[in-house]
Amino acid sequence: MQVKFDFLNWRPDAEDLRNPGLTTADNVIHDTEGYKVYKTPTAGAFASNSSLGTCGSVVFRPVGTNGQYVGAWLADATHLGSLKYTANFKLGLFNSSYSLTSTYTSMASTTLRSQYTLHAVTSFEVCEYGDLIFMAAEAQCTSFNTVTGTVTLNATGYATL
Amino acid sequence: MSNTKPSGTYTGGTFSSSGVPPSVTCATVRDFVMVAPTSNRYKVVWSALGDPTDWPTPGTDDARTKQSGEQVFPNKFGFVTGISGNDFYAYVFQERAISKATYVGGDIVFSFNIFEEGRGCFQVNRIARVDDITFFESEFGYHMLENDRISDIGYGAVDDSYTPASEHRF
Repeated sequence: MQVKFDFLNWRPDAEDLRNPGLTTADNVIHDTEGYKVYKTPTAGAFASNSSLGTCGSVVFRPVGTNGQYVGAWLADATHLGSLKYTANFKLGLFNSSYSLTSTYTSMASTTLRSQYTLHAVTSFEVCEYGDLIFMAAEAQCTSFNTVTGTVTLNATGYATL
Repeated sequence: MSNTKPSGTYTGGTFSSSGVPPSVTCATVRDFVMVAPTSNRYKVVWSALGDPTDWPTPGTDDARTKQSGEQVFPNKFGFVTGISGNDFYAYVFQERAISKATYVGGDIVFSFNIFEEGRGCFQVNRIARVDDITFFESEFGYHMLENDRISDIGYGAVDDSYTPASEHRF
């Protein structure tokens, strides 16, 4: 069964020649049907949150009904010299005031490489059960030890809203 | 090669990882939480009935009493890459197949039936659930799953440009 979704005149699969629409759509974001103009924020304020530490990669998602959110991030990078460093992989629960209320740390005991590397949160899933928030996350990093190759850091746990 | 470092510590008064298998994905299904553990990428494990903080060892008397258990899937369909659950059933996605988990209770707890071979979720957590509709990305394109029926929503529109088979993948 095939269902037609409306992508407006964005038709990337159509050939360039005689394409009645556009093969690329720049400066837009998805909308309920098709897309809408991406607006650059021009007002408001940003504030640093030192509780995160020095981050390499972050993923966040809203949870609950009171403006809370959860996240997974690589943090606390410690330089050991000679392209080596260590970092922690963390899960956290934040309240609506952006304060970190709870943290889980999956220790990266393996020394990582600081150049030519992959350091990213590659998987993050959340589910809610009553007032419990379950999180399962993984990060991929490049080990300093070339024999080991990629290091997979996993953090799985739950927090109470 | 890769290795996994699942051990950890936690701070804060309400966070815990006690007993929960390190996992790549999770979902709420009826009165359970179901996860796909990193220890076996072809398996799902679910918690005790009504208590997702309790994760008995599958196969033990304790697990049977609490209806906690596990299910291993055929490895020819690839890793378990996603779980989409609701108050009645769950869909378990492998890379090239989809199974439906229906609660039956007793010692079996969940009955698993593979109803799609070919299309699956090609990478971990490339699914999104909206009410009882699950959208997912297979190696062929984008699809919508509702009431055990799969619709190809990207065919002729975006599949050629934005799926793994595409040369233009971003």
